[in-house]
Amino acid sequence: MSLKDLGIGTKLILAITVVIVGISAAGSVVIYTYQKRSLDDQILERSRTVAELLIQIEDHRLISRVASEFNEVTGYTLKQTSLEPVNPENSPDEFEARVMEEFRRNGNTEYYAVVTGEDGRRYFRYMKALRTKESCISCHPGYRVGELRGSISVIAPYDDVTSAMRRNTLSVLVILQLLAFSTVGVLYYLSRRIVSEPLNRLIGAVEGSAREIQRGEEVKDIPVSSGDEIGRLATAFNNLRRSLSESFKRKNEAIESFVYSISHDLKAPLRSIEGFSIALMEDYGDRLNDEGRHYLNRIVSSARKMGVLIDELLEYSRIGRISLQRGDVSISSVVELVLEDNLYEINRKGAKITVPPELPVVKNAEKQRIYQIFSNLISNALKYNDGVPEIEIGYRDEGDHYLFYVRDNGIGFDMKYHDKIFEIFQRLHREDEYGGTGVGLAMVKKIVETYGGRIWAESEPGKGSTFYFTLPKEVRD
Amino acid sequence: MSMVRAIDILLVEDSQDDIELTLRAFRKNNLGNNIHIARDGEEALEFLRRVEEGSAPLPGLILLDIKLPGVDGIEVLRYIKSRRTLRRIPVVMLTTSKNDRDIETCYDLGANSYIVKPVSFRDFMETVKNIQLYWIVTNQPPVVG
Repeated sequence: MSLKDLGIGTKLILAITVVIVGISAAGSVVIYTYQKRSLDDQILERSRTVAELLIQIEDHRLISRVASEFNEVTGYTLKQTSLEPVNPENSPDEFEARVMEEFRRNGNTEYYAVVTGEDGRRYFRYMKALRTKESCISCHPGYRVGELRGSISVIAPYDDVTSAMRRNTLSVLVILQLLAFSTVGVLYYLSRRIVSEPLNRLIGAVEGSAREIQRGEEVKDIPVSSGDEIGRLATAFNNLRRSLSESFKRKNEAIESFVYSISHDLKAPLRSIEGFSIALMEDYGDRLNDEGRHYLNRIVSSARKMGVLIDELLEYSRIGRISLQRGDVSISSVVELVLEDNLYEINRKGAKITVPPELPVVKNAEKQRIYQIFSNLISNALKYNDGVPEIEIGYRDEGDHYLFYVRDNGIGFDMKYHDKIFEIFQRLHREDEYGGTGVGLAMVKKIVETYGGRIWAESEPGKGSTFYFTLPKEVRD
Repeated sequence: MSMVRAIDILLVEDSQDDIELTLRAFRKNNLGNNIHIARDGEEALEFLRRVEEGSAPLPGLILLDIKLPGVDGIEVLRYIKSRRTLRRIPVVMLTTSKNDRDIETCYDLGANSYIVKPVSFRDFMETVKNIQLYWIVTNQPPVVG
């Protein structure tokens, strides 16, 4: 799964997370830099002030006292140092000696740097040059004005303050990040509520109606729960589906009424062919020889066969288009009627037929259509059977619909022809093997689907077939 | 010699072939009925109006095709059954299919029977027998006493 396949909500949240984390990290760096600079300035300022103060003081003892008090308060080390110390306390360390050499060479008066001490810790070091003043000459007649005498050295511990600062910055950063993540959390929740969930519901609904359309069931509108883009998408989808199904319905109706009128018009000349062939046979049959009469008989029987075909086509085109009388249809009585009408064939083949003592009632159905379903399935089960037919009729209650089945021990068929057998005028066998027009199962399928049900079959050549179909307990108008 | 005059029959049929085949069925069986032919609903209504005026003979039987161009058989039937002088005439509907839903409508409107075309004489006589028109159509006086 690549980044592209993530949900819109997740993508959005990822982007926001990256931005917020980035901004807070950059902010922390800025804060840290700014704080560090101001801390450096602060130490420098403090050192410079105290150094300049010390320079003003002429009493050496006072200098020592100020220095030691300053050190006590600040924790710094403030001292006087000299290149030629009289007092060994004032002897310079390596850094001080180096800086004072530089002061002597270039005449600078100030130097500061962050230096790592012998203990491995870092210190902010400040040095201020002490040069001979006019006032000194009176006590030290050998000195010259401006000559370097020594320096004030301030050593401020640096690690502690910077680490404290780093801690502060880090806690600010943590707070910022916490804020950032809680914002992301809230945004994530909101985006789920506002974007992902409605979108997923919409997707689910669209997929659901796609399935319904595929199964030929009646499709309900997708609920429109808001006026935002998602709501508009749902409305647009509903409109699209409605106009598609309307235009499909119109086309279908046009085709069916076309089929109807064509079949009807075809019947008239066919009737003449049959009628006049019979007339010819009746009036002039004695003047024809056996062969002539045979031809005439073939014409008549072909015309009749075509008549049956057209009648079935007409009947097929009427399903769902023309509503027959509706009411509660007892499947038991329908099956009984079908068996009665097939009695000749049942007896001829010695068929054994199992019917449960009670079959359900389908409400608001057309008895004639239900009859056509069972009639076609049962007569097929009788017909496509080379031995003694054993036919089982049954059903199962499946909530809002019934599942019926007609099982036989007949010739069966290869499942690769499953869809083909339900198509109109499709036959799997030669007409002289098993008669029929190829309309029966197509008609059954159309009736079942018009009622909002489904039909399918399970079979294996030589192992018999089972035809299943569902019918709602109450058919919608 | 018969004392009963053969009844007049009105055949309302738009297909020339069907007319010919129907006439043949009568002819082949030596029925000497006078058959009036109307080629569509309009013509049938015109004939029936003349019957009502007395300028055309009252038919004893009407053979009425359901599907007719323009005014169809159902409308003609409705007219017949709404007129005092006409409504007792037996009407046999001609249809192309026994599954024709209109047959039901025709029965509701008072049609006596129906015949599926092409009309063979056997079917025709069967229907006529069923609606007990046998004697008046075949023009044989009932055996009296």
